Amino acid sequence: MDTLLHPSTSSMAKRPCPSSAENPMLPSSFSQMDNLLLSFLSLSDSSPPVSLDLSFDRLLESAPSDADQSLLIDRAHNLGSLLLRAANRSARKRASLHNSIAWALPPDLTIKVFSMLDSQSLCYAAATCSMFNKCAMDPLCYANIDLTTVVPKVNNAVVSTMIQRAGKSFRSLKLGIVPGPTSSPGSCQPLVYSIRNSVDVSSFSWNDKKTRQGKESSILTRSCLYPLSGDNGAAGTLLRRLHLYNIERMDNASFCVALAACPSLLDLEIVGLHVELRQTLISVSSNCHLIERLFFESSKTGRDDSLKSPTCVDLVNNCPNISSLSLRGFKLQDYKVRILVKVLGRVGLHKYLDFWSSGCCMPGRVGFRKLKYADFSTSYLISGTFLRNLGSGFGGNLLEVLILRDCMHLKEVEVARFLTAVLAGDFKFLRYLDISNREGLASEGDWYQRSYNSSIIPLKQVLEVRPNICLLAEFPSEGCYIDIDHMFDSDVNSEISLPSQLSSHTSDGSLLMSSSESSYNSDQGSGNEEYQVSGFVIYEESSDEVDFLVV
Amino acid sequence: MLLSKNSALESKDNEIFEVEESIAIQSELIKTMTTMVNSKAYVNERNQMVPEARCRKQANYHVEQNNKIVDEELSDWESKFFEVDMDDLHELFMAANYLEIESLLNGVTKRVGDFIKACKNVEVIRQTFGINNDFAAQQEEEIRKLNSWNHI
Repeated sequence: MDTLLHPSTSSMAKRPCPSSAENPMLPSSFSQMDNLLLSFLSLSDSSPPVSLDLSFDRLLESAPSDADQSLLIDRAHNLGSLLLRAANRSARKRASLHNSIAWALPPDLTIKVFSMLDSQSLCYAAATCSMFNKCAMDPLCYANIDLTTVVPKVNNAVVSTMIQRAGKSFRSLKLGIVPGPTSSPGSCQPLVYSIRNSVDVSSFSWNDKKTRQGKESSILTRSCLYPLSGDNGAAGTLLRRLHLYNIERMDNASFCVALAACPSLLDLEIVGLHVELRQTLISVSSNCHLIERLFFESSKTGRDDSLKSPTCVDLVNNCPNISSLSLRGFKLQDYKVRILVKVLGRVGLHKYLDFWSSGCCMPGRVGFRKLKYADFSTSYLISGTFLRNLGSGFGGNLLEVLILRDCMHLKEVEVARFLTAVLAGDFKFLRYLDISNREGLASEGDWYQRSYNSSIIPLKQVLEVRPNICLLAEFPSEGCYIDIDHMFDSDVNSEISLPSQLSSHTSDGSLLMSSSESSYNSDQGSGNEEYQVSGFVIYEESSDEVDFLVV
Repeated sequence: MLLSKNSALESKDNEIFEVEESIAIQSELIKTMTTMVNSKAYVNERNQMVPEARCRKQANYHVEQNNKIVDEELSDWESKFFEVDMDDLHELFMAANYLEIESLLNGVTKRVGDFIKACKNVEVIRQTFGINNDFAAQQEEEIRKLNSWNHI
């Protein structure tokens, strides 16, 4: 009976009660009820709580039969719950009223505010009060859905709900697991993330989640993108941007189905998905003709060599708007990359022959005409020959950004050739170039021979002639960081002190410099006119002596 | 049509502001009114709804905005401009909405959004904005289920 006098506690479960109109205990006339209720409610002020208890007990005792007692108790229950519900309802109404005064913005402005929130904050806001909840359901708030998390938390149902709420405002979807900011910085730091590596996994049982099905699961499965195809692809048609990270369960078939539903896609970013490059690109070129940005990072660096020339040709022909292309961690041959990058000019035959001579046998228009941003970091097999004659004469190459970081087989001679072309005036629009490599560049001949020396690469000259280019050419330098000026000034004596440090690393013939000592500073925004060059030693695998070249 | 450099805007408190025409026109409302009325100084009496403080803020906002051409400076200044308490923000909001000044509206919207983003969970949002929980138990349960991924 305590709950009657403490209506604010919701500890009492709500029971379904019969309609009060049929209850014989309550009078039918309205004002009688009012008076009765009033006098009853004033009880809590006047008498101590315990008297109600005693009163009820006396009533029960005076009841003629057992059945009458049950009836009394039932009625007490019913009335009690009715009163409790009424009080709760009124309390909520008052709270709502208070809220609408405290938060003085009208719904349309509130919705505007909410549309600026990220998905997580939006959900918090929606759980705050009923007014917020209503505003947070507006489709405008779901135009950009960002469900990326640091550990797996989101499941298919959440994705589906959000897409549904977005309705016609649906524009962008980001999904998956992105390593948190605690991971070591580096522009080439792969975003690929394996749950097995996670340090946050301690509270998260992988097996536990795997076995559970349906809504309880915290895992995105391969069907997480089905809402895009649903309802005749209504949602997919609206989608402009799709970013997917490390969705372990995603496979080729499901992903291609999803892409097939997104003809308006402009920006596609996939990192760490177990999908084949070739199949994905085929799907893109079949379905996403408007695409402008393609960022694809392999889940297994250096293992996917599925890309074929016809795929490149199809991609170039069917997706002419691509201005930004990133293919990281794949096995790419030079001639295939060339198809993607080289622009066939208006000038006719001799350029066509040049194209043939570069080893490719594919006729037809090649090269993205609008390509400005190209990133082939951590690619295998490309040696740089695709860069030859790329920006020459005809039309000029529009390339503004070229990133070839940590390409194991990238040859220094090709880089030198490329930079010479830049010096000669090609690549007029180039403003950012990154040829850094944790393990140096490959020497001519055997790629095991690494070069950390920029003697043939005209770095300094490039920076003089084209000062607006941001040039990153970081190679391991044993932890010490000597810039190019110092290198010029220093004499041989000061450099002799280095072999003692180097030999300890090179005695086993391994080409891997310990990466912790490499000056792996990869701040892309480091300024337009700065450059960092480190490393000035040519390492000969067979010899203990180390040659030094002063540039 | 004779266009003078300055428009005179009369606020609710009967104060008259001299504002450069180009700035005044940033407000969609004033723009339509002046075009319709075809006069420079006689802006519709509806404008009297806007209390003085707001008008002044608008004028300031636009003058400064026009002066700051560099993006960095502008964003710095903007963040300072919006670093006011909720009441002032609310006033700015209402004014921007009424006068239909898009840039100001976007700025205030973003600022309030940042306030909400800074709250790490539901309780903090409630405390920050003085909002009470008016959900029925059943509703709350539903919401909690839907948001289990968010750990609400």
